[in-house]
Amino acid sequence: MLSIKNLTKTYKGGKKAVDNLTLDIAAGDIYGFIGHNGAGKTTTIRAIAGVMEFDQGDILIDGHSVKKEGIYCKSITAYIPDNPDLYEHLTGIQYLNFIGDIFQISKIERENKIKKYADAFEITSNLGDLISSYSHGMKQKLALISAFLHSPKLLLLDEPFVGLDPMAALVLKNTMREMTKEGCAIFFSTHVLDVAEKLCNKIAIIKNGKLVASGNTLELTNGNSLEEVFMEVVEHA
Amino acid sequence: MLKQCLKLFKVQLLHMFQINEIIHSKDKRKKRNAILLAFTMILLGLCLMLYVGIMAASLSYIDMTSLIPGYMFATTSVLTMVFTIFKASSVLFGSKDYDLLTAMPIKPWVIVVSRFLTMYVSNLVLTLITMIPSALVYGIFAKPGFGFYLMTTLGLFFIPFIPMTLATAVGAVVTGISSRMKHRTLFVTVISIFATVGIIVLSLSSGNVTREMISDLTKIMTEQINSMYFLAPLYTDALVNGSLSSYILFIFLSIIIFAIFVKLISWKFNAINSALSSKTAKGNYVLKDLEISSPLKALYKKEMKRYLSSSLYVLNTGIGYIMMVIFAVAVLIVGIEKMEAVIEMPGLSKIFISVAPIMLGMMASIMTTTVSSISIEGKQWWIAQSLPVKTKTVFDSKILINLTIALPCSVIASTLIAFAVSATWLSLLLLYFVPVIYILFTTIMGITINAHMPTFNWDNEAYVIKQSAPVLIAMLVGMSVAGIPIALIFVLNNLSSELIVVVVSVILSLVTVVLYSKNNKMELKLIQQQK
Repeated sequence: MLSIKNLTKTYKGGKKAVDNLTLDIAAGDIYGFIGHNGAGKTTTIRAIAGVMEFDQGDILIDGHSVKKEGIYCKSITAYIPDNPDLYEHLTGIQYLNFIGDIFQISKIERENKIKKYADAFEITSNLGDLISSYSHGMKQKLALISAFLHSPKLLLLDEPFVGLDPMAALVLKNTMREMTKEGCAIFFSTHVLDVAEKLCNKIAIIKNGKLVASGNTLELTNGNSLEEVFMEVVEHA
Repeated sequence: MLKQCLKLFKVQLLHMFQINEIIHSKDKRKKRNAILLAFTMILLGLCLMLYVGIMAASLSYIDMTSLIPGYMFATTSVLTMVFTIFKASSVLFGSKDYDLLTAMPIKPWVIVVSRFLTMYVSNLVLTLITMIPSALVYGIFAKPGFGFYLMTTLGLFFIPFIPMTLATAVGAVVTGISSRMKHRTLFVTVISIFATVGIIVLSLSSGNVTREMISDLTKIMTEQINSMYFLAPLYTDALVNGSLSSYILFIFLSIIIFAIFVKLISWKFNAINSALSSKTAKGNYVLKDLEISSPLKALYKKEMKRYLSSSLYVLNTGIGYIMMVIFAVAVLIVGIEKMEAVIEMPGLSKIFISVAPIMLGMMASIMTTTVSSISIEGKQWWIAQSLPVKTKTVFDSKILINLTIALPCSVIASTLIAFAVSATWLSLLLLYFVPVIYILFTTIMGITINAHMPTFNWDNEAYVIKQSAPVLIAMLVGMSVAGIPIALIFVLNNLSSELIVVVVSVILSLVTVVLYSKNNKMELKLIQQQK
């Protein structure tokens, strides 16, 4: 579903944020992306989402190049950044309806999805309020609902658990599992290694822009905890 | 405390003029843009200085040299008031760094004074632009003593204080009242439009002025401005008659009024900010039927909601269109012959129908919503970038906002003028089409400039709406495209003015089409703020 080929992104000034990264994510995968702060996780995710230009390599989503067929790729992808700044002058329901209009989701489908996920995240009663009145967690929940609305084939999440209450975190985890059963591929970054270990069937570790380990979670950990593996890999890479 | 105040002031200055970003940026393009901005600002300043110098000299030629200092002082003060009243509240209150600053051991008056100083810098520039050339012209014609130059130089630094204080006080009162309201944006917008229209109408009204009274016109206007601004007679007395007591009184009043104002604002600073940051949330929403729209309509609705959510945005971008309609109403009610006397343009009535389309175009070119429409997205720009829509759709939604506001005003203004003057069918055609061409050009030019020079990491929206490089460049381009044909009509008076207007309009239309087509080929992900 997602194929990253030799992705390289160099910032002005010469620093390589991502260095020749190659990774494949299949439909049904929940792929965890871990690494230190500044390792290149967000840059990679932003490049896949089509919000950032990259220098070398290519990214294919469902066989389509992000560079050449950006609009199509975006239409089958959902992306939530680490700190989702949403349109604060809109109400929650106006924002969801806006996303529904942009992705051309049918009236019935969007109403059903909004009801399902807003109820699950317990923010239905707040949907009539301006987003500017929302807490960080509520904005995160709203951003997640907007990402689920068009049943994306690829879900890109940057630190999705930050700011979520335990109940919402559980809803998110269950929804992620449910979506992958329907053929969606999920690629997300996190610093919460426990969550990654339990939730992801595959893990990639990045250090200084380079992929230092990747593969099946069970094979990668091999009886150790992900925390131990991460420390080991990062120290010796 | 003074040190803290100066530190805060320095931080805001670094942001205001992008000094820090220029120093620390590794991007050559960013530095080039900064040089371009500095060049634009200097050019704008020089144009204004030249204009003021000519105005002052024209007063001398009709033997009214003694009125120059008072006239320019009052005009500068009124302009300072108009410019400050729009931005004062947004600079003082509701800034994103409020929480950060109030959590620190800083007294409210320190924050108030530092914010005031930030506005003072830009108003001082305006004062220098208007007062220096007029003082030089006065010096040449009146040949005053050394005392005049000394008092003028020192006085320059005090001129902005009282108008700024008064405008900020009005802004603070309006913000204070509106902070308790649910529809605070609407309230602030309506009040500010009334205040602006009031000031424009007052400064244009001249009673029963006839052509025979034209020699007294400057005196009449000066008296009017004197009555509008109470310190003008005092300043004239000090500078023209060399009255030291009047001068000391002027300085004393400037300081004391400012000090009282700071004390009062500091007293309510936290309360107003807290009220502004408090949100209305009902939490009783029940899912209802949803309205389906096309992507363009959805983006348009989103843009319109954003536009109407900011009184500062509405006022600053709507002022040109309000002026268009007021101007047309004035032409219809007052008549073109009296207008000729009021705006001091002898011979205007003869060529009015030729220049009216471009005059309307000039007012439409003052400001456009598009020039800050990308930057105003700020940290939410990622949403537009990640949506599966073409650049054209995103840009069209922003363009349509400006056209929604501008086109009705343009048609109304053209219709009112059409009723006021007799015109040939060609003149009528130009009266309707030329302002529309100017509006289309300014709208597309605005989005082009903003797409090439976006700023997303702003703390206060006043920065992108009023002070950013795209806004200044767009103003300069707008003034040029309107000024050049007007100048050509005056200079090439053997050529048909209609021909000049038609040629300029055709050129502008072509440029508009080229820019529009180039813009639509841009990639949204490449529209990033330079690091």
